[in-house]
Amino acid sequence: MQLRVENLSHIYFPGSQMEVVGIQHIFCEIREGEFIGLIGPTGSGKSTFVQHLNGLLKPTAGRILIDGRELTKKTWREVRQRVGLIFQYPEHQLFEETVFDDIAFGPRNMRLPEEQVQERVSRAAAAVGLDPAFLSRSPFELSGGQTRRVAIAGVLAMEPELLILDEPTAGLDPRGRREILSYIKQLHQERGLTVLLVTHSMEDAATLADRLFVMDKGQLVMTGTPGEVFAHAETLQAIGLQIPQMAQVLSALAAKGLPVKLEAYTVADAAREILRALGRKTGGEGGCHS
Amino acid sequence: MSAAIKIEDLYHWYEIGEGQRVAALAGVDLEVQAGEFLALVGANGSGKSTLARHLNALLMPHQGRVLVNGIDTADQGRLWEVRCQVGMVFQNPDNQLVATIVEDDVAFGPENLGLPPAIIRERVDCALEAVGMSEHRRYPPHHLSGGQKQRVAIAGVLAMQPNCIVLDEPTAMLDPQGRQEVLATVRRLNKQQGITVILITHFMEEAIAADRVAVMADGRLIHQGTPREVFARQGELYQAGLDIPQVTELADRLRASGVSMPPVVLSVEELVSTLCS
Repeated sequence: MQLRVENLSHIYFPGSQMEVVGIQHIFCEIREGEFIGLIGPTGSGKSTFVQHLNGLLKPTAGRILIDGRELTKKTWREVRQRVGLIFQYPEHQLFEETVFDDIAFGPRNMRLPEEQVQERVSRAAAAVGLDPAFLSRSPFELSGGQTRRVAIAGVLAMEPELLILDEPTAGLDPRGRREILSYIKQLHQERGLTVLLVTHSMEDAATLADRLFVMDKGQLVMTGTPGEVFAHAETLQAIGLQIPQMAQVLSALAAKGLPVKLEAYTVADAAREILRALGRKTGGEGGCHS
Repeated sequence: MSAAIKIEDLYHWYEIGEGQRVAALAGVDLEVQAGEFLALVGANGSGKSTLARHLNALLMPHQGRVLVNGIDTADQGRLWEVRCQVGMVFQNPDNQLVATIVEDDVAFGPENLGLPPAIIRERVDCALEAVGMSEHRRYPPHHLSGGQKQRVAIAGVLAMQPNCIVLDEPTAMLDPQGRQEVLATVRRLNKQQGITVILITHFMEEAIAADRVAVMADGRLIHQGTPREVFARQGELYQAGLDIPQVTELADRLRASGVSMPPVVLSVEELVSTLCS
């Protein structure tokens, strides 16, 4: 699925005393199969923006094109099936008696035959690593990490082409974070799902996304590959963001004269880069100027 | 230093159905000294939040006991004293702010104590000053960033003049700057005002700011020590669903490849100065 956003603005409570600009003049494009990371400080308009992409909010101005067709009142029902949106703390929205029924809610709403519903539920549960034994249990008996998976599976069971996740790992422990992110990465790589991940973690944005969107004060202020975006450390800092920790290490080393490249965001890549630079150092040249 | 909090063989069970129960806390012993900064880490469901709720008598021990400055939290007659001494800050700032103006929110606690207006004024001003939010005292809370809201929530607790603040994942919903603001505020209160701090967090990078880290798993305290001691145990932490800071892991990898490194590296500065010395 290809998604195009043209001059999108949203004003809350227009004309009233409470009028607030949510987002302003956003132009962007999400290409089929891309993994986009959306970063920005709290209140920068990220959630307002993503809620337009499946028709939950209507633009005050501008438009959204999906595969060239404008998103309107007539098309939003169809779009809502193609664009899955997972909110923050999605487990707060679980309500069915069993995990199975919760995941099946969307497909049943689509009036799919029960056979297909079952198939979709087991596929979605497997995609987020939910133990099939959990399907007959109440979602309220599961741990925080497990209920989060149930909620994500519920959206996956709609089999969307674009999956939007608004901070899917907030409040999870490190293992829960690692697991959820690895399942999302797998969905992207193996099923070719287009993904938009809203995150406060610069590390996750850098290691998972093909391209980043940076928002500040309701505007899209920067787009580019992680390397392009994180090259602007000062701009990011000024809007309340940071560069990933590994990039901080590398740029501090570079400032001391160690000839490292700055574009490594995982611990493994950073280690490799430092070893490479140190190797060169023992060869005679370079090293830190201390 | 004397014990601000003393937990002895604490048990807490939750009912999960007819006659079935699961232990959220299964024999926890922990002492926190006055003026100490303790980070409490552990996987989801390991019992951290249940433990936190025992510290100001939101929950009562099913077995064992909790002493706050020597007061048993099970002593109903002194419940109020316990609650005044231990303030709590939770994850979601939006659920903690009740008033329409920042300073009214901070005044909410002292007003409930029935203090004279001049004293309330003084406490509110001091508390807002301490968290660096004086300039925003007339703002409606919904105009603040996440980090600012959490600082107001902390000010609301400070206005009660507690000896100890317990923060249960105060940065889970914040952006990087908000996280830094809250952490810096907590550190400052601990260092400058000597307030005992217990910080529950899933971010290992935050735990390194503490004097001591306590690790929980399955309702038990499985390890405690300085950040340097605790983060030397990568295997055990990993098994408990946790992690070590990225920079610590990077140093471990470099050491494994033959680069000379101290046993545990905790900050970017430390790593850089080791490599460039």
